[in-house]
Amino acid sequence: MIENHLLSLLIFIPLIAGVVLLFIPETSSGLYKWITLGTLVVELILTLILLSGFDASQAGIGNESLQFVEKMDWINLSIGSTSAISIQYYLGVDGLSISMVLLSAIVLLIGVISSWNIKENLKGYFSLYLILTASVFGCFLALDFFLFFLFFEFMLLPMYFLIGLWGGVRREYASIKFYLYTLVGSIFILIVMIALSISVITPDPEIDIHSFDLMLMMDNANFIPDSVLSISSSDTLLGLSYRLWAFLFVLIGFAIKLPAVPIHTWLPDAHVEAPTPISVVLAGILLKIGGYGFYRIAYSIFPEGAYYFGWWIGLFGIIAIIYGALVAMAQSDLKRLIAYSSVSHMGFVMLGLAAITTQSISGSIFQMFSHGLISVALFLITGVIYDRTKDREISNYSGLAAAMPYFTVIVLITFFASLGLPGFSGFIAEFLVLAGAFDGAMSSEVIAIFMPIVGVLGLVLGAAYFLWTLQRMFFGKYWIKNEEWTLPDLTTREYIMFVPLVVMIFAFGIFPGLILDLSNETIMSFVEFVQEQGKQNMTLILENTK
Amino acid sequence: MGVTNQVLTEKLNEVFGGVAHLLPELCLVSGALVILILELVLKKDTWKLKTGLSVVFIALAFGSLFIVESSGLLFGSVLIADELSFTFQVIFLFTFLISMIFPSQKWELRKMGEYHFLIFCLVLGAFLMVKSKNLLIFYLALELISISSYILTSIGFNKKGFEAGIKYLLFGALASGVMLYGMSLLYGLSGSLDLLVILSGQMDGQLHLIAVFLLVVGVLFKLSLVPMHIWTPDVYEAAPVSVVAVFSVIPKLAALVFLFRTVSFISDDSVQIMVVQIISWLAVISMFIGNLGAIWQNNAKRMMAYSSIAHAGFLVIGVIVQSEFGLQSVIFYSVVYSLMNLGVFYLIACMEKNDLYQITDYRGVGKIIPVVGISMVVFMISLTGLPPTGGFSAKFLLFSALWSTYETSQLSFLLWLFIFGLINTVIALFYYLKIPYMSIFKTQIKQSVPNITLKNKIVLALISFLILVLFFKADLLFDLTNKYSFVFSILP
Repeated sequence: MIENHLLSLLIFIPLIAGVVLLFIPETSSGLYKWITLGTLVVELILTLILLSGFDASQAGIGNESLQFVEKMDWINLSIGSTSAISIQYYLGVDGLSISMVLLSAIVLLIGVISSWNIKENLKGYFSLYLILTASVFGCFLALDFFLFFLFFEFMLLPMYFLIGLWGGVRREYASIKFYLYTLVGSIFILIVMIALSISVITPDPEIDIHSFDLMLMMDNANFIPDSVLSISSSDTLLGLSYRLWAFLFVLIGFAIKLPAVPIHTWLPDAHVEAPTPISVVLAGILLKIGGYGFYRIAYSIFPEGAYYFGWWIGLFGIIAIIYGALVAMAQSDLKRLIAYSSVSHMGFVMLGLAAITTQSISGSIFQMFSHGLISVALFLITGVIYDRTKDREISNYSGLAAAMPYFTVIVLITFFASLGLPGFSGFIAEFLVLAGAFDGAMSSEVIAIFMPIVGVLGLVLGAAYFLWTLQRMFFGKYWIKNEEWTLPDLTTREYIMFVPLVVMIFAFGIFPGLILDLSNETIMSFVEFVQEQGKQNMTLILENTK
Repeated sequence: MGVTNQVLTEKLNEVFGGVAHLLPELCLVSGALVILILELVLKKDTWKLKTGLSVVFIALAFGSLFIVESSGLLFGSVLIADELSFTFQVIFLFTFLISMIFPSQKWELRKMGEYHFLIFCLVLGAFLMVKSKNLLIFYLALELISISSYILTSIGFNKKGFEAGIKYLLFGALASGVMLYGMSLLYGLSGSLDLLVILSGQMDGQLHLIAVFLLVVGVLFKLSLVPMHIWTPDVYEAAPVSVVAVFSVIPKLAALVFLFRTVSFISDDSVQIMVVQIISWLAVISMFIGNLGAIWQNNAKRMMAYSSIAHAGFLVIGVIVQSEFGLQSVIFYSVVYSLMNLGVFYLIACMEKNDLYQITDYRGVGKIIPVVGISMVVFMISLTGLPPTGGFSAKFLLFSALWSTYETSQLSFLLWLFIFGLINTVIALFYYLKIPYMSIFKTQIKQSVPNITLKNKIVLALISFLILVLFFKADLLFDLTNKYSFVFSILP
């Protein structure tokens, strides 16, 4: 019973809990966080059940080998007597989305623990948090474009309120900026979604049933012949075929979410103003949805775009790596520094995807997972300092190691993990991306050889700003700007958050197979699919649009 | 003699046969008259009684809509009764009904019976407009709507209302004049007043085209589509809220239906494409002017006026695409649009009752009264067109229809309309969010808690619920609209 509806449970349990919260009177407001915590613990347990039942030898490309599939008709719109639009409630996991689900369950649980000392309007906060949880899971599990878009878009609303109501001084500016930027991205995606749904029909001889099924969209045979998005179409817009435009639009849409330079400017503001737990969720999960969207939608539906624009994707990847690192180095606010380091690290995801080799894409996925954990730890670190002093200026602190020795150990480990020291998960991810990118640059010539070389430079820069921060804030003589600040060491609650994170960062660094084995089969068949189908489509498009 | 007799009998039969089909309209007429007489006879406070009576007559009209079989041409093809007109009549009656249960306003202290009478006239005009196929009937319907609107604008008896009423009258008279000129040209060119005969004939020369555009101008005025939108902000700001709620839905949708019929009757493909092309550029400009204008507004009603200009741009997409899919979608859009606007104006009425007029006055209201806060978010998200609301489904369907027409016709202006239309969503979000932003993010300045009654809360919750249902089960409504192939089959 549970096995059949596991994925629905993952989405609906937090949703129901969120609604239930609304009906619990304010007088028992202490209950709110416990209910939320309980819900997230249940989510983690469900995810572990999901993992135990998951068969990693199934590829998951195409309909047959997806697992835990739930498929139901949801909205059926009949148009005249000859066609219809069918929107399905279609969930499933493959090797890639399951690792993202695991990441979400972990990060969201830690997010609740770090929300423990939120003081105002607890009801609103925790019910929004639970709704956010539901849409995050929905986003990774949906296999119907419409359903995916619903969750993707719906995530913005709780985020907007969570940043705007519980955030810092400029929270209102940051929340509207976040909302508008990501909405621009969603509009790009919506444009493509509408065009795709009109072009794709289910293989049904009688009437045209327009479908949003992402798996159907991957097969050229399901496109209406000569519709502008079909492979045989000879129509172009400004000299570029419609399929390539569609790829570009989806790419931009998800690149805003990722975020890629130069459309990353919402991220530092959102991070700085958001309360710590929301920063944690934002960096830990929401950014990954950008990368996941590349994989699930852009590359899978329009594989030829991966070839046509591959060089540019790689270029923007390394721009993000270098630019993010350089800007991070110039920051005086610790949280801003970490926000820019996120931009830099997400650049590796783009570089890895651009190279289209099994190694590099595995690296990308692993980078998403590992950065999910590391960035959570990094934002929690800023949270620890901010909670105690309400100040995050790097120059206001010195020699914190003397006052907070255990905290400094945690910081040391996290910073080293983030700068890519061997033995931690970050190293494995970035190594795989760079090695794969070298390989890709040599063999397939999608990206240029200078890209991985410059990417390596990014590692050096990362080491520079992290070590420099470490030296400025934690080493040297103990000094803080305001004598009245008290800086006690970590509390039990903070240990509960940090210790598992640090253990996981270690564990996945030493046994990367724990995640890579899950997604290996999926990634191999995905790369094979993109390489074959991409080249084939590219030739066809170039022929047809000549 | 016998032949004349026969013709006469035929004509009489047509007339009597037609009258039976006009039962809903007759209900409206009798409602209007009964209330007018009541006002003359009874001098006492009869506001509640008149509202009650209006509701009864609305119910009667509603019932008779379903009794009368709605198909075919009436009075020798002067009126068309079909499912299209039927659907919109249902929307009009629903809007009328909701406007009757709006929270009471200060100006109602004057207890004027003309208010009910005029709204009945306006709805009657709209009923005729969605059925009209003859230019004279159309003109009659349009003027019935217009004249009632002019008076209703200034029914609050304040300086602003008079100013707006006069402005409205002047613009309206200009539009009517231009339109009449176009009509007389069309009559001169074709020798007929029947829209189908005029437009399905041979269209040669510039004159014909100009005449069609002049006709369309009058329709655009009621739709408040650019460039005929200038009256909208002033009128919306000055008129009482319940009146504005009616204005923003009934005349607009009636004009939309007439525009749809006009464009679909044009049989000459190149002329049709030309008309459609001009309308689609006007739609794009409307969206931009409406949305960009709304950003700077602080008065809630004025903001909604600009929003309604932008929405006029979206509504005419249904006219532009000219397909079954498009027609179904635009009906869906109209229903959602009416619901959203009624909801927002209901909310504005609740706020005005508590002397909150500007958006900045809404500070903290949503925080104190969660029902208001949540329904504000639902309405505004729906107006922007984001999931999970009916506004998203409506926009999504409309743009899907637009894309599928683009795919088959490859007319480039449709692609620009598609892209610009969707980009406008982002601009729209910016100002629509201002209302929930003020009411939820900011804290209240005044100490008094606004008085929102239980009835108000129930209405707000109900409308929000309907808007959400139209997303999650959009097929409930959409499949109802799936019988309009007939509209196209009456084309020659």
